[in-house]
Amino acid sequence: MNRVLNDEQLARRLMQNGRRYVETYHDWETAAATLETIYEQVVREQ
Amino acid sequence: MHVLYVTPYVPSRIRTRPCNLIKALAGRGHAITLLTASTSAEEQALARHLRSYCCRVEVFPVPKWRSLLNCAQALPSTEPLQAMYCYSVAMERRIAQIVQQEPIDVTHIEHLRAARLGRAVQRVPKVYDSVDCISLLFERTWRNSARLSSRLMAGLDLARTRRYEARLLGRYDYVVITSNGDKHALESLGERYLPPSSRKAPVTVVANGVDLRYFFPREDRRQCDGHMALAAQDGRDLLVARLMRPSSRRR
Repeated sequence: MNRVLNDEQLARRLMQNGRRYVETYHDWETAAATLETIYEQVVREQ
Repeated sequence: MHVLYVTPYVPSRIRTRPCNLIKALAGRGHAITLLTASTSAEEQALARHLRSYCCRVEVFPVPKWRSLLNCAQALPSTEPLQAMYCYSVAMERRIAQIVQQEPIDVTHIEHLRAARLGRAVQRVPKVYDSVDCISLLFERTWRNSARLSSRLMAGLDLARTRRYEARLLGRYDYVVITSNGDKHALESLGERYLPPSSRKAPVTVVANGVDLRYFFPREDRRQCDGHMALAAQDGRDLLVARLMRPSSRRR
């Protein structure tokens, strides 16, 4: 924690990489799109 | 599509999964009817903001005394206490009524606490959002919790929760869950407790997301108002507080 608080470059790099990871794997829009596909599948199979 | 979305708690910034999924589904053009249980007046008030995303929001109060009575009734049965905690007869009747009378395309029922309500849905596809594998959660609590009361509660409910979660795989058309670990744990319950020939709903991971409009990098914070900056600051304080906790306990 101290290293991150004292090293602005490291903090910025962690922040950018973290954001990129979240945008790629943890976006609610992606989650909703997956859910939408599942809804379509169960409706089709009904 | 018209989705009947059922939750055992009011979706909010704390109950982030249903809150963000409802917003995102509404944004993609789906009509959402939300039926939610609520354990307090404060929670009930949180439902107001959802009205701009849902075509209808109905809240069913389940006060603490009702939850305790539900749990007491469940004790001598095979139902897990968790499955009974937020149960409301009025909510179950309303679900059955809506499904019979309105053109609902799909029902989405979230969490073990609402899973029992799925029996009110006939002839409409049912998706169960397990969120976590609760049996796995109880196993971890039973083994690792520092609080004796939490360990005892988890131990009391563990065996029946395992069987109940396995049965849900046979009662729903599809199951979604937040992680691969939970998916594997839930699927193994199905293999362990359901007959090999029985139909088991497919389980797919739908990971939790992050509200990127609410949480944003520090450098962008200047562009937003004070409230947003405060929220981000609170999040960082919370992280620090959690990291500090083990050492403060040792003291």
